[in-house]
Amino acid sequence: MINLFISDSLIQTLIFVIWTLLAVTVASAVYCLRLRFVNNHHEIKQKKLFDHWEKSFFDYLYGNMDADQWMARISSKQFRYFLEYIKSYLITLRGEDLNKLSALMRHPRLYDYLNRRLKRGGHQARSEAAFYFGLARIEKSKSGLVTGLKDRDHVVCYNCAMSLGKLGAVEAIDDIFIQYSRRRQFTRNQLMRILFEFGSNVCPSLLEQLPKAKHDSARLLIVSLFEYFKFYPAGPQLIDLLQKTKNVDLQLSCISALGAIEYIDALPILKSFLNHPTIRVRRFAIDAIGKIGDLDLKPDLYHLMKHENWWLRYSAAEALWKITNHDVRVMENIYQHSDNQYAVSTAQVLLAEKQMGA
Amino acid sequence: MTEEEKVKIIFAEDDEGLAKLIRFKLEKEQFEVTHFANGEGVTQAILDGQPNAVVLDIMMPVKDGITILRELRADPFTKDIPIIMLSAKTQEKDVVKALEFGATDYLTKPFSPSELIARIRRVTKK
Repeated sequence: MINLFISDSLIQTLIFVIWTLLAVTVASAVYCLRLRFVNNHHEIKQKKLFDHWEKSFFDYLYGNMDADQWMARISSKQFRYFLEYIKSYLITLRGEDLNKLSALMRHPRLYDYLNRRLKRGGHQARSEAAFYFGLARIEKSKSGLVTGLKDRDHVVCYNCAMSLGKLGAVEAIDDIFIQYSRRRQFTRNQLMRILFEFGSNVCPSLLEQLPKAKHDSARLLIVSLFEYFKFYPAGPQLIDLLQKTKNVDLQLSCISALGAIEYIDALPILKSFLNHPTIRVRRFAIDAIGKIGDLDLKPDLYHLMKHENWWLRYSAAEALWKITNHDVRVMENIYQHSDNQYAVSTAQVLLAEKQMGA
Repeated sequence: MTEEEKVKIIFAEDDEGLAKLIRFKLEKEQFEVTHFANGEGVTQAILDGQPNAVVLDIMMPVKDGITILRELRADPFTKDIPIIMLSAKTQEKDVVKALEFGATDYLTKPFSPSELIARIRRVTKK
């Protein structure tokens, strides 16, 4: 009966599909079992080695053993386990302990092993080698890491950049920005994390990068780092950028940074932004003025407390509070004697909040 | 130093390797150490053992360090025990929060074990 509906060739195709599926299933099961076996073997071996090293490793850290003596105990085949073993110590320790760990990583055998992996390993090996060089602060790995920035694998490039950051290699900033502009996978957050690794020492280099930056995303990032690290010498460039850019986000960022570094020369331009068509920009300018604290701007801020926009009024009251050095009398005076209802209610809210300790 | 004279420390840290290292270093310096790999049972052990100082990691399984800190500070039997927080949380707000909840000291990771010992000695000095 079936033959009436299904042709021979279709039956053969079905049988072929079933056999193929069966073969794939068996192959997958074998592969999984093998993976599990290898993984188990790796874990057992790792645990055995870790237990074996434990006591003598602490003797190395806190005793008289030197790096040569310790390294003599490990064969090259055990290096990958050893790196795994000291990883959490490299992450969580600093000071003399980290110096002793770095001494092991600088040991010619281990250094050459990592260097070979960085240059000629698979992408995972290259990435790990870059990671460890940074973690152990190996100065002589800098040139290899700079070369690694150009690696075809983005993860390797990212790890090289992070490690250069840990090493404080500000001379590599140019190359990092070049990679940022060339690689699509290189996100702004990644660049931010890398630059944070450098710490505040990165700011003078960023000052050189700002005019060269090709995209506003890079400019935004640089400006936000100036703000975070309160880098005062950036003031003139921030004013210049604020005058030239039409990007509102960049304007907001520049205004905020100028306020954070309390750049007095920025007051005239900040004052001009009090009439900006965008309310948010005006609010940011008010906040920055409040941080810089110029008493000459008291009348302007009082005037803004009469504005119909609540947030603008409130920001002006906050700024006035700051530039008068938290003088309650100024705000009470507005509350009691102003003929403007907006100003009165804003002063009332601010006074109530300050009394509650907000 | 006799057993009675030894300074008793209870510390909770979930990183096994780091915990072993801290323990080694503390015992080498003649401290009597009890370690917990997570937050479970720490409060009770402190109540029972009345250690001279406590070292707590903040991010731990079962019960975090801040919860333990608050429990200890709320209990009249443990409220005066010096507590040092040891954490990877480095932001100002985290440090302030722990100190406001009554931490005696706060050490951020990465840290130096020698510095931890110096701080323990300082808070346990009678």
